[in-house]
Amino acid sequence: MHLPSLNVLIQVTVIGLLTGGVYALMATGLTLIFGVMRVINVAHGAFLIFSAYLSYWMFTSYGLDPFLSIIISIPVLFTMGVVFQRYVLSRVKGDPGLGVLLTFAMALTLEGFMGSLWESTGRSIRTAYTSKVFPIELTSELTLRLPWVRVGGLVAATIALAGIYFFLKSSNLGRAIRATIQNRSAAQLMGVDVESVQALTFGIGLGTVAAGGALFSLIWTFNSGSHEEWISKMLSIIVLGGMASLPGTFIAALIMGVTESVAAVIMTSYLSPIVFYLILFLTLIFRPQGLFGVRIREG
Amino acid sequence: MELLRRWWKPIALLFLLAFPWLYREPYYHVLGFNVLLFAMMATSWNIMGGYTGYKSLGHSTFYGLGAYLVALAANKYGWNPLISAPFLALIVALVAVLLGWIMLRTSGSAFVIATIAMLLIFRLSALNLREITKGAPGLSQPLPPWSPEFSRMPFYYYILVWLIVALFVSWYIRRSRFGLGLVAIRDDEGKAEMVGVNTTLYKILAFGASAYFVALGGGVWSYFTTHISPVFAFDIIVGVDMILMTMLGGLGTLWGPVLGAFVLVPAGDFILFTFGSTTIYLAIIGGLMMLVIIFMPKGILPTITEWMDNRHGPRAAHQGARSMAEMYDAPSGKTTGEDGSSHE
Amino acid sequence: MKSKVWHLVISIMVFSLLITACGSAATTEAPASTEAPAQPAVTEAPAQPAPTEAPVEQPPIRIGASLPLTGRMSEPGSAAKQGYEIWAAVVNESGGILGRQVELTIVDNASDQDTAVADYEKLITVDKVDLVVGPFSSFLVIPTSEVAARYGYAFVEPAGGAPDVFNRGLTNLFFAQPAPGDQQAIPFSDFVLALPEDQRPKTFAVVSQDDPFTLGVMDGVKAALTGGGMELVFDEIYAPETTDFSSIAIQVADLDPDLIVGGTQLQDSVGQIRAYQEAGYQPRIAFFTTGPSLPGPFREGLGTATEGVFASISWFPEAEEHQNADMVAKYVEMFGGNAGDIPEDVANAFTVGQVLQQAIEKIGAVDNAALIEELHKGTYQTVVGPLSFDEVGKPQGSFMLLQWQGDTFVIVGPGERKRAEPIVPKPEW
Repeated sequence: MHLPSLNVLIQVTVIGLLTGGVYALMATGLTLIFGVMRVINVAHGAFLIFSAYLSYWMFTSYGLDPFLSIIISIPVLFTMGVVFQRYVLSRVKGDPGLGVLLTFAMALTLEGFMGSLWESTGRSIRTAYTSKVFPIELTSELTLRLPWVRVGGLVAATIALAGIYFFLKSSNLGRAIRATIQNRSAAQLMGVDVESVQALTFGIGLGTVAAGGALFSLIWTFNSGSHEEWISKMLSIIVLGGMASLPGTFIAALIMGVTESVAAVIMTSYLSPIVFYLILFLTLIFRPQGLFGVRIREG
Repeated sequence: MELLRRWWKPIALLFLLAFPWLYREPYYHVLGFNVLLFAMMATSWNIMGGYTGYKSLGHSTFYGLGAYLVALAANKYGWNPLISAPFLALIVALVAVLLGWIMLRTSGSAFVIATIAMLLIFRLSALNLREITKGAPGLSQPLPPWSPEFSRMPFYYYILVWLIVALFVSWYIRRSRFGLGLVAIRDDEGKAEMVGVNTTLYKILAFGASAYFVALGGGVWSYFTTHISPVFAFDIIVGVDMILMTMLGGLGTLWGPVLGAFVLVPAGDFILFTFGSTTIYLAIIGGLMMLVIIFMPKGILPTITEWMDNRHGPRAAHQGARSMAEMYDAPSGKTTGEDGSSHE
Repeated sequence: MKSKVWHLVISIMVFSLLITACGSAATTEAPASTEAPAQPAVTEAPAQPAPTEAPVEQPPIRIGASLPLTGRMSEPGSAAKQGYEIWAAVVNESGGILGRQVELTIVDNASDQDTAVADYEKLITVDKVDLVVGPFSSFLVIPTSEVAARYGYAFVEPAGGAPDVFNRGLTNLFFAQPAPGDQQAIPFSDFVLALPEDQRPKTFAVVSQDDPFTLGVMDGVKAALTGGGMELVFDEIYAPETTDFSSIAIQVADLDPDLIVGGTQLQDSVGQIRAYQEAGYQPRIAFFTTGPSLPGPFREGLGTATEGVFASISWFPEAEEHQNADMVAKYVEMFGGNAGDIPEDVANAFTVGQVLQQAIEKIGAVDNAALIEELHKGTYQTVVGPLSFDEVGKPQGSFMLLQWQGDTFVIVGPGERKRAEPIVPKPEW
């Protein structure tokens, strides 16, 4: 434990905020899925890594920039989501513990396939703008250096989240989704086809993770086993944010991004993920409703 | 037939006793050890996950704690792991009771996620407490003193004894008032509380009991492999294997976890050595787990019984259910009613 | 009545499972004549000629290894595989060892300790290979060498030089590089401390992966540099799977040490340097353990940012050591490319083969106990120079210093091994 200089603290806070934006995009789908289905999709991390691999594959094989290739990966992940919910997940009803086990099994399966397809070597994308930064001179002592990919990530995440927000607010399907989140049986009574809403929500949830995966592939190195680390980060974000609350997820993501980054300089970067795990553990037990929103209980 | 029914347990035991001498290759001793080890640990997991219905994904925490405690005691104080493991596992069970006391405020999905978080916290701590654990590179233990040719055999028999103990404990719990309370919690926690079951206490005790044999298994494993590191001692897959074995064999039954281990451990080894890759192994384990959860959530034993029941009408069904229950719950047909159909 | 059927079925299932799982065992009970006695006893009577080898049949010598062909050590692991394969090809073309051909069995352990241990267990007891050779990196060598010890197998290994490899009382292990890990960076620290006063760095930072090999190298560097009067201003260890170095880099940039020492495998050397670029940190001198010595992937990951980076190395393509020209030619023949693309790990694995071959030819038999004894005594001509081992298998030589200049690296020391002048301070990355 050592106290870093103010300059370092400012720098890591800014980096943490940028990173938090990307976290928000990655975790949004998880929130939507939980909100509608009351199932914690433990396979979300594996789907994230899968879409990062898609970006990687399209970049290395066809030179497609990840910001462009999401046009392909979003529909692919959307379809996977609809199919998974319709034909697999919807078969398990009642015991929510079973639902979690099932998505966990899905995560293992995906990990296995990704490992065989791309091997477990760490992959990352090096574009022309990797390692480039926007320098912003604040004082003669302090120049903020904002990496292009993380700024791009935050911008893309904001656009995507705003899009989802408006979609939920103003489209018919969006309203149906929100109604189902608030009260499933009431929504059903009002004529919402809950089954279809669930399948579509799972699709949309994975669609957002496809966008998150594209950004992910630009910033971090990943392999088939990385999903374990990332699902725990995303889980702590949505649990802290109150499970089914989109604004809650966004704020929690920023908080976690900053906390992680600051913890890395105050403690060590080795130990810093423990912040995520502890927040997840303690929130579940002592404040199951998170900062905002609903208590995570049963299905 | 009657003969076999009556004698299958002694025969199986005899076979297991003779096994290392029938198959002398050390490799098969390793395989046999793993089968028995996982049978014991799955039996242990089943006390919480099967009887009580709280499915922990983080039981590798106790495996890792057991492994490290035993390894550290062996390195620091020269304690023989095979003697110290049962005692050190008690400490782990105590830790589990404390953790259970905190965590069992949650239920359902929240409990499952909390157990994952618990595992990650312990794993990261083990990685970072470098002065104690030596960090990611891991900790070596002295090699067993006996001749390398027989190096695996003592482990095999040792764990066989403990498997029998674990089965006895599981059987005893299941037919005690305590066990009935646990099943009541699984079926309807609110109702259980209303009829006077101290649900909190019961759950915490069950959690501790189910941690004990897993910790013991971890301790023996650490001596068996002679080298442990946090990533493998606190590997979530170890816990997943226990769940999968229990669910495949029969959740909440006495013999289900054992059957699951006898099927899955050799199958897993076969997959690993045939495809020579851990990733295919993961895909198959994951796929299998999905199939079991979707199509056979009760597992092999209960499914078979049920199928028998339906085929032979209500009367035979009653008998069938009873004798099945006897077979995996109680010793030859002594109890009635109480042990009922333990599954579902 | 019906339930009895199920008792039967279940009992049979349990039995048949056990029996089928083990069925193959019965057929492979052959007495393993080439296998060593139980203990790796150095004190036993000197090399008896292998008693049961039938000279007429000449079965191949079967050699097993488990390598990290996937996972975080996959680059050096795959290079080691190439090294073994080249060696086997070279040996077999020249008539084999003692007239016997060499047959390799190489399996993938996915950089995973448990899998590696299980692999060696199976190679020795089920596949019954005659000899085993080591995996890549101390992380895997430590647990697997104990499996080999348990069965009395000699364990010559290409990459596992951490202090913990040698301090466990094993006598069957031999590290086939010129010097153990804690001494590998000595040429670098000597070079730094010999710089003229105005060029010599005053401060340095150490950022290392939590890995026995890299930490061993770091211990050596830290002791040497602080002993030479330099100040260690930052010392951090990170998890092996770390991919985000931004927080570390920001702290390093803030402290701005003159010299950075990275304890890295390949991927994290790329990750660290990218993060230093982002954080705007420009060291005067930079050293990384593994990474810069893998010419292809290091350049691919960093482009021109490689310029001026130092690393230690045991071998270079133009070396005039024993069989080096054969090895380089064979590499190009089998895997294409040119001599400059050959990773050091290829040479280290090739060295393992050379050591084994010369020791076996000396004792005239494939016998692990005799082999272990011989390896402690002899000196072997290899592509990294003459090698001999002490009682715990530590090699008795020294490393070279490389620096990236232009599209590849060159040897810049020490002494007469120098091929080019080092550039100090290093250009900005």
